[in-house]
Amino acid sequence: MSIYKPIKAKIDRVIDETPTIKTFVLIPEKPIEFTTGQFVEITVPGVGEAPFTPSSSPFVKDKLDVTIMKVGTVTEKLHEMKEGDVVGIRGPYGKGYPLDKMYGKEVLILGGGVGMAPLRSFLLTVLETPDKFKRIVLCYGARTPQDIVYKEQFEKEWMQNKYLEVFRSVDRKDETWKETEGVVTVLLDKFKMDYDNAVAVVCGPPIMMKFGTLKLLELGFKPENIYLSMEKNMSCGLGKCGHCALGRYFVCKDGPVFSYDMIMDIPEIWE
Amino acid sequence: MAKVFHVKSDAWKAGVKALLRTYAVYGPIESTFGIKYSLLDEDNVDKLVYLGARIYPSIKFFLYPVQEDVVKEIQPKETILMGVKGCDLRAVATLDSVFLDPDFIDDYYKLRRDNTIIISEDCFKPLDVCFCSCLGDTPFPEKGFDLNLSYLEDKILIEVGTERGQKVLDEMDIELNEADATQIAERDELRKRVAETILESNKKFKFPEDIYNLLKNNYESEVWKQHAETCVSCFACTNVCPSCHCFLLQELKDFAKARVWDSCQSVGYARVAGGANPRKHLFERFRNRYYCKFVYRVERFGLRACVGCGRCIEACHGKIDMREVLTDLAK
Repeated sequence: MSIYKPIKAKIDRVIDETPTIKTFVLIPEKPIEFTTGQFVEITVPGVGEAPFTPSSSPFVKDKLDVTIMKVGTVTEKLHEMKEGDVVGIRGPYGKGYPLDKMYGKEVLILGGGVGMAPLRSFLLTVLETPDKFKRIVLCYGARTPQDIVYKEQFEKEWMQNKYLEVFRSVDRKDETWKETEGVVTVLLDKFKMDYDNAVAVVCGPPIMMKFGTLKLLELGFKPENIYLSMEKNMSCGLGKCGHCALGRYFVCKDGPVFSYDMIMDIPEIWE
Repeated sequence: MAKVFHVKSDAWKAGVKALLRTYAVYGPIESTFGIKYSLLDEDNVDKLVYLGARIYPSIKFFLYPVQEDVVKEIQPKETILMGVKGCDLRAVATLDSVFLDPDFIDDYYKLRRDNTIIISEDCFKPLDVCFCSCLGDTPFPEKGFDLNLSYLEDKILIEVGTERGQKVLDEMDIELNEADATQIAERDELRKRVAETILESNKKFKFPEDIYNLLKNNYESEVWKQHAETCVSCFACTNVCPSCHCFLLQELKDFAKARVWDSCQSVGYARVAGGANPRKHLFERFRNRYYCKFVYRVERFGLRACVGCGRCIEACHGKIDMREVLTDLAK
């Protein structure tokens, strides 16, 4: 069996999140068991393949969600696809979030834009056993209120969940917005944590990852307690094609989740 | 101590002919267009040359084709490669570390690798661009061969590297005599002289053997920008390099895929869909090739991925010489 060969997956449902982001609910012909933070490669037949981290809970076995922003050739084609269409899928690849290192601690989830996708999977995972964590805080930022993903889940589930503290911001507010305006890092001034021992899980656009990390360090988070989902050009997913090389690492094999201390000396991380 | 035999050159040639019945044998032959790697047959086997230097293309082309469908089944014929030099054997080890990584074995590479018998040779006529000795490597094969040949004046010494090599040797049905200490000493003396020749011809280049640390301390050096000025991003260096392994997974019909060689010298190589690109500038991509070979792959796989074969120097349209780059970094 070729390591490069995908299996088929049927698109069960397409959910419009924002004008440029959709969530696809996929049913692979065989269940793909992943741990939260691992990624899969999705093939659009005849067009190309791209890496995505599932945005659903790993406890759901037969289905798998991927939340995809329209940014390139493959994602544009994916956005044209409908329920019943078939894509290819292979994986899971890489190392996910090390949950065992987070038990008993305060956990901060810091997301921006479509970067909420892997974080939703993480959030749903920790909410399965919230007692194992001392505290769970979710900070999420989007450009405008229209750009917020998982709106319904945010408002009907997460913001009502007693185990979860939710803070949201938008870069530019409109008349409907009653929450914070500003970049996502301003949310971090709204509360205090046990910074010495807390862990942070960060995902978003490169610029947000950079300033988010710098802010966390400034607050007192330890580099080894900041987990970043690195977005690189993971093409084969197998540590062979070379595209996602980040210094001595292959993001596809050694990541995509890295603690900041692992990569802080590599010059190319924020681009 | 490995077994070493000696045979007469003529007897060896007759033996090679015998192998053509069972194997696809590739070797360097004299042709109208100069010396090139060819599939040997009854007609051209007499033109087999003992070049003494490494040849183009590298062994990579055999084990890892430029483009290969990696979903369909393949059954490569059992192949013998002749004329392989020490540099290419070291390159194979670096390719193995990637494609035979036990976490994910690339069956296409593995099948070709398993089906390939390597008859290597001592390098005794190094080219001007060769610099393996400057890296602390040897111009003769140390490991990774099934059989290794050392050409002395009127005879060939054959070192058996593997059982498979011994089997091939048996199939050649030639009279073998174990080499004596004098013959081995003669071979070792020649090997030493070749290594010295390489150091001598590279005298004007001054860089330490420990390039890992040289690079580690020079990431921000202006040298990268200076030497990148004549780079035209043609990817010749990465294509001819026997240890460059990067590829693109190309989408074919019906969920089939091909892996096609790619190059870190391409502007879009590391770019992600959102547009972020860690190596936007040419000098950054230029520098990356050096770091990949001398730093990243050492840290990742424990093997330096430059073998000093100098093919990139020969191939470069911009007349960029890795040895000059390293010399300037060491200044």
